[in-house]
Amino acid sequence: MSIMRLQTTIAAFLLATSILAVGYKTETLQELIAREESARVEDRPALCLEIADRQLKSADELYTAGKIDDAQAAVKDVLTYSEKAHDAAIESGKKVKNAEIAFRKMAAKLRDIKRSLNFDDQEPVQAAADRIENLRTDLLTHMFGKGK
Amino acid sequence: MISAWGKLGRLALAISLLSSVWAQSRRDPLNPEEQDQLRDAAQEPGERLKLYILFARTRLTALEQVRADPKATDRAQQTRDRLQDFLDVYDELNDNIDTFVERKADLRKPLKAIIEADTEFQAKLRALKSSADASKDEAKYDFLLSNVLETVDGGVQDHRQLLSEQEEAAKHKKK
Repeated sequence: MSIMRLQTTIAAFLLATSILAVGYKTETLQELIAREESARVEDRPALCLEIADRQLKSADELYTAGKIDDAQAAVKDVLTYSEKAHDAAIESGKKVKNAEIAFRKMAAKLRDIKRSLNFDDQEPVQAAADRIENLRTDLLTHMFGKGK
Repeated sequence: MISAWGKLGRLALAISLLSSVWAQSRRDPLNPEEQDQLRDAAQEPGERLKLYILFARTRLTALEQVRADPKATDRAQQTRDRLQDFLDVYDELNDNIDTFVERKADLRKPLKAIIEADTEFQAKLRALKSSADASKDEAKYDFLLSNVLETVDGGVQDHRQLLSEQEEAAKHKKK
């Protein structure tokens, strides 16, 4: 009987987590942004990283389509939400490592995007990559400084 | 309780991390010639990924040269810089793989070369880790080295997984 109850509990848990995971991926950007605004501080790093990542993909597509102004606006969003993720990760102590890895990957993507652009359009993208590298190093410093 | 020396050590490490960021500001891990090569291969997944393997290998070779050079000054900092260069290039390699996967490119051939290179990188990095453990200046790059090893270990698994998925998909296509 107790084994059956345990199995039911595990099945319910797995179902709930998979629904949550799928829901997260299917939410629109606007829904994610709305959720982030009212989220608890410990939930904010993951939400902000997801928003930043989506805006980075968007920026890449917009640059490819030649929509430079829209692409630059998307890059600004990447920065805004990266900074929010950084602040929330430090404040809550949650997802610090995840944020550090995500920042590394985003900086790599930005460098790659930058190289595909005309010289005149490269500056804001390089600046964003630099800023994200700084946020990343700040997280590393925070991780090292823990326990002082 | 952490001793005063421990606190000083942490502070020195934090300062070293920050100073390396300032030094790295506005830095591209690839030189202009390499950037041109990548631009020329923008539409060729196989060629582009091969270039990334080559650039990553070059960074590790440079690192080995620094380690082997008895005249090298500030070897720990130079080791750290080369490791960071390698990690930046390796991250870009993975970012490019993701992009080509999204474009539904057939990566079976390049992935085999990447997995081979991964194994080579792992061996070189582990050798560095062993020699670093015995070295007194290891603290300056120990965290970064662990990070790089973790990334390459994760990379090998992801690349193998992706290869098997693509091989499976190719089998179904043939049917």
